[in-house]
Amino acid sequence: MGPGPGRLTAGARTGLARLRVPAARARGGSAGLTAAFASAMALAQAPQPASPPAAPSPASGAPAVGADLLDRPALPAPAAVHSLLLDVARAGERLVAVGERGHVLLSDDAGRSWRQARTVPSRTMLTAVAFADARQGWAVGHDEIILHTADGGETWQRQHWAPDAQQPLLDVWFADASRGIAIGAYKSYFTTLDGGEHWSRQAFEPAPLPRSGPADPDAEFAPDYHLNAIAAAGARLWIAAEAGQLYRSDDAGTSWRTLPSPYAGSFFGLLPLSNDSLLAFGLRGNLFRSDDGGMNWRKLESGTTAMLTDGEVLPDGRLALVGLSGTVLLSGDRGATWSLRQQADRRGLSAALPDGAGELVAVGEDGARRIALDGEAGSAAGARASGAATGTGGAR
Amino acid sequence: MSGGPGAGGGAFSARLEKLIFSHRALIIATFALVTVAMLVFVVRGLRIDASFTKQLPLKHEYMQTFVKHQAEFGGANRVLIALVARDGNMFTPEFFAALKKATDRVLVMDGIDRGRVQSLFTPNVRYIEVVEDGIQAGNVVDAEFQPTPEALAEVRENILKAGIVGRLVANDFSGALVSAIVLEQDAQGRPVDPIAVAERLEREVRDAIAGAGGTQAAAGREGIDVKVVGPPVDVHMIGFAKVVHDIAQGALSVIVFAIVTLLLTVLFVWMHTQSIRVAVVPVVCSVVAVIWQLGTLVVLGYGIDPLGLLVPFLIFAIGVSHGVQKISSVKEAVFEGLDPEAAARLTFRQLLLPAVIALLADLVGFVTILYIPVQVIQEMAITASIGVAIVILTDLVLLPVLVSFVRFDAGYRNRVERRITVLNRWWHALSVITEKGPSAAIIALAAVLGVVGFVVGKGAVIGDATAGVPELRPDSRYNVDSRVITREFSIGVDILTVIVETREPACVSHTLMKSIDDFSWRMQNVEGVQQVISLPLVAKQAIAGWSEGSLKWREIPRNPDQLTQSTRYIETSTGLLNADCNVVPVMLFLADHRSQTIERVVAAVKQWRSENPVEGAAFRLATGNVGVMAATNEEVKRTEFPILFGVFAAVIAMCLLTFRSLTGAVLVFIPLALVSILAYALMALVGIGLKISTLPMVALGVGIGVDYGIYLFSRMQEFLREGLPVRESFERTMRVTGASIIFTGITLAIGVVTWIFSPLQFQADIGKLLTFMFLVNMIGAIVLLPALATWLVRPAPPPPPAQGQFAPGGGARA
Repeated sequence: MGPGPGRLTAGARTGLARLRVPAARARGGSAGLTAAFASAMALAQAPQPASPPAAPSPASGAPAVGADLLDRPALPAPAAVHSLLLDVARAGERLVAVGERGHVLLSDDAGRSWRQARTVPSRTMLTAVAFADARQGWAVGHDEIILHTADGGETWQRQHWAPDAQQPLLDVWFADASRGIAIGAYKSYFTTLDGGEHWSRQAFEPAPLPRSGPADPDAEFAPDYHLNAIAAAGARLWIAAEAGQLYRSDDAGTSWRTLPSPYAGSFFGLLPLSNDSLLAFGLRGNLFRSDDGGMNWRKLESGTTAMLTDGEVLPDGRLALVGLSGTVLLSGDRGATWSLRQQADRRGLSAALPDGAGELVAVGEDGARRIALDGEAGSAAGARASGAATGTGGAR
Repeated sequence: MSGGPGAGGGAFSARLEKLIFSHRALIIATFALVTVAMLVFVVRGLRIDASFTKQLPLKHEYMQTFVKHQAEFGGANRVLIALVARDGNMFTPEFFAALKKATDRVLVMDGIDRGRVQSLFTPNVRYIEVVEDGIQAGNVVDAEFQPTPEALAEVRENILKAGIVGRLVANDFSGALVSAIVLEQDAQGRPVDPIAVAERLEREVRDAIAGAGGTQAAAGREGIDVKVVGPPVDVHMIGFAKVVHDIAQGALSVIVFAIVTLLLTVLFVWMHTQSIRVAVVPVVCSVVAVIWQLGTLVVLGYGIDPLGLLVPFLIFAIGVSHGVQKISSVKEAVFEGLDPEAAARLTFRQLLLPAVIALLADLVGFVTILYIPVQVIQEMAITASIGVAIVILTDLVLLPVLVSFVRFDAGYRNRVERRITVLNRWWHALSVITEKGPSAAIIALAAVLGVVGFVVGKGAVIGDATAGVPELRPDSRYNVDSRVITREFSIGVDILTVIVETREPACVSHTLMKSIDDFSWRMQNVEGVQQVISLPLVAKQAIAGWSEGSLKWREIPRNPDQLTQSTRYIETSTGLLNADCNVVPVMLFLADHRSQTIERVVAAVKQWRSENPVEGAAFRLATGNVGVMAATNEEVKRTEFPILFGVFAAVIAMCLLTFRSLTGAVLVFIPLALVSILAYALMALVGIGLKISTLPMVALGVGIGVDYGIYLFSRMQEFLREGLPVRESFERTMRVTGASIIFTGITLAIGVVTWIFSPLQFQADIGKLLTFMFLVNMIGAIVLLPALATWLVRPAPPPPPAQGQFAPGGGARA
C-alpha cells in the first residue's frame, strides 16, 4: 500500500525551514518515524499567517466564515459526558467542565451527574475554563476562541474568535471579574481589563535569563513556544511552557521574566503552594519543586513516566497530580514522596478538582469521573501494589 | 371406486399413453442413459459454492456501495487467531512459545498476506513514546527475546506503551491475537480458496497448539517424558474464511441427511404400499429426478450452495409423494381386475392432468420467490422449477412405465385389504367432524388459533436476533470463539460501515475532515452504537501525538500543513482511507445486529445526511456485515407482502380454474392462510428470523401445501356433485385418497425433517419451518377443510351421473 505516506510530501515541506527538534533517538531502526516526528515538530513551529495585531475583537467582530462547521451552536449529546473533556473549574458550588465540540458540562452535585450547558455558540474544542466568581466565567480553546458566561455556565457568548489564526488558546486565568489573561500556542498572549469586552493581543516578551557565558547564537531565533499553563499564587503569576520554559510575573502580568529551567522537556502544569513554593510538571512524569520563587529547582521522583497535566492541593493538605495513562499521584508530605494510583482503564486525565469530600473530580479522554482517594496509608499500599502489578511503577 | 375405466383423460392423454406404452423399453433405456450421463456430470462437476456475493441483494442501494468499494475495503477477509492462556496469565514462557509458534506458522502459510500479519512477534507491532528530544520507538517483542521474567515484564510495559491492549492483547492480559489477511490471489495469480486456508489454519495452528503441542515442547528438553496435563493455551479463530469453511463443513452433513431421508422414505413408502417392490418404483423415479436436477446444475454452471442443497430434498419428496398417488391409483385398478400394464395405462390417462396441475402449483411457490433479488434465492427458484419439470417427466412417464412391469403377488391384495378395512373405520370416525357441532368447534378453534397466531406472529423478527454469525448455530464452535474473542478483546464483530466519497481528497480539507468527524460523533451518540472509528478520529490522535501527546491538541488542525501531517502516516491498510483519500469509511461498531438496532442506526445515518448536506461529499450506506444485513432486511421487508400476496393469488386462481367454484377456492384457501399465520407464530416462538433464507420457505410451504387441498377437494367435489351430503362425500374421499394425503404430508416432512439437526442455523430453521408447514397444512386440509365445507357447501341436486366426472380435468383443459 505504498502511495499512502509519500503523496502529500510537497505540501508538508513548507514547515521544515525552522526544524528545531534534534534527532530523536530510536531503537530498532525507526529512522523514518523519527524523521517524521522531527518534521512534525518543525511544522508545529511553522510561521503562522499574520494574525490581526492587538486589535480588540468584540463578540460581533469575529471574521465571517459563513458556512464554517465549527461556527454553530454545540449540540446536546448523550455521550458528551464521556467525550474528551480538558478542563474543569469551580463556579461557586457548581463544577463546569469544557472539552471537544464545544461541550460545556455542568454538575451541581460534585461531579456525580452532569448536564450540558443550555447554549454554547461554537463547536470548537475548548481547552480551559476559569471562573472569577459563581457567575462570571471564561472558556478558551482552538481558533483562539474565548467564550464568556454571566450565569454560572448555563449560557455562553463569544468574545473572541480567530479561526484564520489557526492556533489554539491553551489556558485562561482571571484575577477578578474584570482582569484576565489567556495564553496559548506560539506565545499567544491576550489580556483584558473589562471582563472580556475587549481582548487585546500582547507580544509575550519575557526578560531573558542573565547571560553567564558567551552569547548564545540561537537566542536570536528563540522559537514561539507554546504557553501551556498559567497559575497564580499570592501576588505572583507563573506560566509553564514548551521545551522547559518557565516564566514568572510579579506585577499581575505586566512584565514577565524567564526562569532558569531544570529540564529541557515541555511543562504542562503548575501547582503553586505558596508565594515562593511551587511544583512544575510535564512530559514523562517529570516533576520539579522550587521554594525560592523559581530560581532553583529540585527534581522529585514521581514514580511514573506518563505526562503530568494538572495538580491540586486537597482540603486535607495532601497534594494530587493527574496525567495521561490514568495517572493519579498523591503526596501526603508536601511532595517529598508520591504514591501512584493508576486508573484501571488508563485513559488520560487532563484536569482535576477536589470535591471537598475526599474524592477527586477528574476530566480527560473518557469525560468526567470521580476518583476515590482512600486514607493515605491505604492508598500508598494500593499504589505500590498496582505499580508492581502493571510494571509501570518505579524509576526506570 | 372412482371413475370407471377409461373415463378419465382426453384424446391427448390417450395418444400420449399409446406413444409411451408402446415404447416402454426405449423409454427405460433413454432414462437410464441420461441418468448415467447426469451422474457422471454430478460426480465430476458438482461443487459446493458458498460464494458470498451470491447471497447479497446486489440491486439494493447499500449493496451497490458494497460492491463498488469491495476491492479496496473488502478487508473483511481477515482472520483473527486468539490464543488464551488457560490460567488467565499470558506472561509465561509456555504462552509466548505457543504465540511464537502460531505467528511463525501463519507467516509461512500459503494464501496469507505475509506483510500484514500482526502479532506481538511481528516487527510491524511497535510502541512509540514521547520523550524530551523526540520520540522513541521499538518492537514490542525484541528480536532477541528470551522468555525470562525480566523480558516478560518489559514486554508487558511495551504492550501498554504501544496501546495494543484490547486489539492484539486481551484486556485482562489473558491472551493475545495473531491477525492475518487472507489474499484474494496467491503469488502466481491463482485465486486463493478461503476454505483451504481455514483448513490449514485448523490443522497447522489450532491442532498444533491446542492439541499435543505443549506436551512435545515439555518432553523435548530433558529427554524424559514429561506429562503435561492438557495444553496450557486455548485457540480461538474467527474471520470470513473460517465462516465459509465452517458453513461448507456443515453443509457436508447433508450427505448424512440424504441417506437418512432415503432410508426413512423407503421404509415409509413400503409401509404405505405394503410391498417393497412397489415401494421401490417411486423412490427410484425420484432418485432419478434428483440426479437429473443436480446434473442440470452442473450443465448450467451453477455450484450448489448451502441453501440450494434444500432443492434436491424437496424434489425427492415431491417426486415420491406424487409417485405414490400414482401407485395407489394403479393398485386400485389392479384390484378391480386389470393386469398391471392396463392399470398403469388407465392411471396415466386419469391422473395426467390433475398431477400436472398439482405440480404446477408447486411451481407457483418456486416462481414467486424469484421476486427476491438475491442470486442464491433466484438460483434456487430456477433449479427447483427445473426440478419440478423433471419430476413431471419421471413421475408421468418413467413411473407408469416401470410400474407396468411390477407384479403384484397374491398376499399383497390381502394385506392391502386388511389395512383398508382398518382405515375405513378410521375415516368413518373422522367424518364426524363434518357434523354441525364438531365442525363449529373446529372452526371456532381455528379462529382462535388464527387470532392468537396473528398476535404472536407479530413478534416474528426480521433478520437475526442471535449473537454471532447467523448462518451458524449460536453454540457452534465459531460463534463460541467469536464470543470469547469479543469478550477478551475490544473487538466488535457487528460492523456497519458508511462510506464517505469525496470529490477532493478529504485528508487535506478541514471542512471535509470536520464533517466526517461530526458525523462520527453524532453516530457515537446513537443507541446501539458502541464505538466509531474513522479517519478524523485517528488523525486527531495523530496530531496530538505530534504535539507531545497533549490532549489539548486532539482537534482537526486548520493549518493545511498540520492537517496533512495528521493523516500522512495513516496507511491504507488501516481501512480508514484509500490511496487518493477520496474514499473514507466510517466504521460503526454496533452492540448487536438485531433488526431494531440496525433500523435505528440506519435511520440516524439518513437523518444526519439529510440535515447536514456536505458539499463535495456523499455519505453512502453501507458495507460491513451489518450493512449486508441492513440491505437484506430491507429487501425482505419490501418483498414479504408481494411474495405472499403473489403465492396466495396464484393458489386462488388455480383453485378457481380447477374447481370452477368459489366455494372450493375458499375451502382450500382458509386452511392455507391459517397455517401461514401459524408459521409466523412458530417463527416468533422458536426464534426464527424472517430473512432471505426463510421468507421463501413460507411461500414454498404454501405452494406445496396447497396440494393436499387440491387432491382432497377435487375428489370431494365429485361426490358432492353426485348429490351426496358433505359427510358422505368426505368419508368417501378419504377412503380413496385420505391415506395418500396423509402419506404425502409425511413424505414431504421426512424430506426436510432431518435438516432440523443441521449444524447450520438457517438449514435448521428451514427444516423446522417446512416440516411444520407440510404437516400442519395436511392436518388443515383433512380437518378444517371438511369442517368449513359443512357450513359453506350447499348440497347440489343430484345431476345426471355422466357429468359428475372429475372436474379438474375439465378445468385444466380450458
